[in-house]
Amino acid sequence: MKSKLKILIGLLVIALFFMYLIAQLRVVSDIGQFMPTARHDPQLQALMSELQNGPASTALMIRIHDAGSSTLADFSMRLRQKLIKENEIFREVRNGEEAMDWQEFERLFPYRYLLSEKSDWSSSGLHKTFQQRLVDLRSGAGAVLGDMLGTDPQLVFVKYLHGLIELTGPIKKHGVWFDRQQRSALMLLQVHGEKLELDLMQNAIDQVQKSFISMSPEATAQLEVAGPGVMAVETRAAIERVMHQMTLVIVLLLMIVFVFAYRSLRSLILASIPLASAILVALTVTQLFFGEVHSIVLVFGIALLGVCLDYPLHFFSHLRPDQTPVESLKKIWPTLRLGGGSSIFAFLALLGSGFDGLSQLSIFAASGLVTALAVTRYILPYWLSSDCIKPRLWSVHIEFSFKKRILIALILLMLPVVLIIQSDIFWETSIHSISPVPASARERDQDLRHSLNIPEVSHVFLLASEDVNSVLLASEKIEKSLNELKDLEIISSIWSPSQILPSSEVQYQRQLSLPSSKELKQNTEKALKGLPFRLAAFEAWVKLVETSRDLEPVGYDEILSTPLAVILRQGLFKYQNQWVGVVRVGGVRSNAELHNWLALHPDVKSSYVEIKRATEHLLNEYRKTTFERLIVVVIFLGIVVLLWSRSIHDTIWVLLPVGIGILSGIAMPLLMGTAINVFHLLALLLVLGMGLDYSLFFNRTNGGKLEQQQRFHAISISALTTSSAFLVLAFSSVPVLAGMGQTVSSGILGCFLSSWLLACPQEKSHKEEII
Amino acid sequence: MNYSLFIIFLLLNTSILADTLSDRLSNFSQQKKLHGSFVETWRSGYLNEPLISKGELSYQAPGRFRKVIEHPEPVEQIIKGNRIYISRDGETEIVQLSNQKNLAVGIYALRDVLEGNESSLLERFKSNYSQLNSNWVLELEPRVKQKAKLITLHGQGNYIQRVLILYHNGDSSLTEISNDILK
Repeated sequence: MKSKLKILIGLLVIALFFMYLIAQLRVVSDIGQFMPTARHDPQLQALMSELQNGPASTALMIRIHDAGSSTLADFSMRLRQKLIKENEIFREVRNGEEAMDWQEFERLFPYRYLLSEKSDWSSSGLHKTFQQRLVDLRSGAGAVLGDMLGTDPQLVFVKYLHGLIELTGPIKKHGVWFDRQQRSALMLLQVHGEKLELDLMQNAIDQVQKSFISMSPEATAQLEVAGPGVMAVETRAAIERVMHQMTLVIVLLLMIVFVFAYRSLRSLILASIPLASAILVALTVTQLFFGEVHSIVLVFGIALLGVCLDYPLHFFSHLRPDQTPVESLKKIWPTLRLGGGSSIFAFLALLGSGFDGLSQLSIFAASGLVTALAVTRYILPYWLSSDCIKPRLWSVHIEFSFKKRILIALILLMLPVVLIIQSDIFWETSIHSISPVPASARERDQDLRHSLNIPEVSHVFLLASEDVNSVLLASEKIEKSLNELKDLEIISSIWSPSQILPSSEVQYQRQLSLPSSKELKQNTEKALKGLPFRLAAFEAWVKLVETSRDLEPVGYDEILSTPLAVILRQGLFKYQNQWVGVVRVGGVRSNAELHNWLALHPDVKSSYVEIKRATEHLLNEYRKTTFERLIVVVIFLGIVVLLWSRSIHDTIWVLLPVGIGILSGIAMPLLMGTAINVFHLLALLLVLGMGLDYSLFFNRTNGGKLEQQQRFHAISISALTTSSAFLVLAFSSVPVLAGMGQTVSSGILGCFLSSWLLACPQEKSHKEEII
Repeated sequence: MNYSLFIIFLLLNTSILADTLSDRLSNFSQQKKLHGSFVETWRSGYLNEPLISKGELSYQAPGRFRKVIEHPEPVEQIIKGNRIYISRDGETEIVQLSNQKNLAVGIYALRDVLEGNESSLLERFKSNYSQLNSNWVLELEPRVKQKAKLITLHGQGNYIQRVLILYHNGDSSLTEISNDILK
């Protein structure tokens, strides 16, 4: 009755968790959220946050190539027309031919003389302007110029807006954007959504491809789509593909193994209960603690919980016809509890790292392991009868002398150590090698970004202040200095937020340079001599210029209410209580030349950030912390085992296989030419947990031949299934998964072989009650 | 008039007489290639005197126009589909007609008439067609409010002789077409 109640309560709790997850679970896929935060550098943190969540993250870049330029232009125009109709998906479709809706900018019209560079107000300058307008009118532009001629004959406002578009767009051919070599037509799309949403992005990419195909392009014309969203979608697809393959291998392998080793498929279902419960509870607890679960935590966490499958394996292999399942379990429970408990505390040690990703992983794994242990101990035995599983036991029993064991230990230890020492590489320092994005996708993205003249994010100058105008003033100062770099042709372009919104000081200066109405009237009168324009037609303009002299400078909010907001926000935004300005440079000829110049200009250098280098520095810090935590975990495990075994000798022999497994897990990726990154270190946690489990069981008190067979049976099945499944990952094209696969498969094999060969199970002693 | 001569006169003129707009447009739709010269006069409140430009026009069905301004400054405008290619001083600018409604309205009117596309014409404009003998007048008022207030096409038989565009602000553009242009 009591056991039935336990099962009922257990089922109820699981049902509640399940319902909670259905309603609340939020899985986030943004790799940036798993990455370390630049806590010590709020400006950099602000920029990274803006890059990950700002408008840049929802942009799609398109290149159409492999056809004649006029054909490409035609495709570009037709594709734009098609995509514009999909306004539920695309917020903006640009290819250089789009016109501005002047009404959307009307609010800024009175401020045109404050926003633009100074005009020529002399009578000769104005004469040239009016002559040009005459040519425009005779060319049929009268309908377009319309009333603008009477309010802005210099077309200052049009030039200001066109200048901003030119600044942010590539060169044009046949009326649409082309790359510098004029071989590809280019487009820039903005997908709806404040931040990158993968399903929406997938839908947008599909729509672009479908529309292009429906245009029946020439067989040679090709379409390429790139952007952060494309990389994220491709990465997700690659990860899903590998995970499906891995799942298939695991399921098939487990079915074969369970049918052969336990003569029962039902046992497979029963064995999956602790693991399934562990995942369910781990998800619920992580969601409760953090309000979301990162997809990387999900993948790594579930992999780490793979150790949970070992608990029922040990249980099933130790079933005996002369004992009830509860009695069989109770016999191995102290070892299970020690192994599981140590792993739980080990994972909890990650909590103090200060990195959100590691903290989530820690809570996920620890709560999962507690659940799996509890389900194995308190639920599973009550669902079994003593004769329902009859393990097909096997064993290869080897017992070496102490000296031989020392020799084997040295060989097993030295093998990975030699491989590690001989390797030319060790720590991974490049962020690209860690990124799950394939190199080809990254190169395509970089290439298109360059062609579209999108300001590079790799070289930026960061400015911050509590006051927005101070940021604008600083950005004007930096821009002025950077012009020297442009003159030296070390860079080809500068992008600064003050080009859209000048500081109040600059706006006041421009106001001061505006002529009085009297002066302007006189100059206009002189300028119109010999031209067919009537002086009276420009009276309104003279008055408007006069009004401009008294206007308050334009502020951030005024720009924000226009379509220029998207461009401005890329370079000027508020993060927490600070205004952050980003000045970018493009077309860097040589990094070395840029750095040399910066060395001579310390005032400019103080704001300079090389994003790639800064991110790599952050990642190295992340890896360092994870490595330190791993060391702490190993030490912690050593202390726990020492306390439980009360023998240094036993502790060494129990931990030695774990150490060999970890070294093997490090050596294998190095052997395959992959340097160690943070994900390898995280994968080592699984090796650690399972290795300890193997070692504790192999070193259990010697209970005779049957028990030797039982433990070998359970551990060999675990090692075989785990290393085979992770071997699938080892050959994945996604570096993160490949690293994890190489580390786990080799680490587990190392643990198994060393635990088995070095095991020295004690004869009955004080340990019997303990392990 | 001699009865037989009267019959011959009627037979000769059936192709250029059209009682309704539909008939007129139907006649135009059979024209595939046209060419001629023009004089364009731009009048505006901000000008002391009208601005005059001269040049040549050609049309090729469906929907391709070429307007070459020869005097006073050379400019070439080619209209293909929804695009207008403007070449001046060795540089070509391409403008999407749908993006320049004020520029496009006159082009749409002329194109729909020459192509005989009645449904498109009536979708864009309210029309008023009148005819006296072989002279006809087609008044087109844009349905969507824009700078142009009224476009008037004057013609004789299958000739378009004048296109007058009046703007809300009082400006106007008059294009007078001669020779065999746009017949």
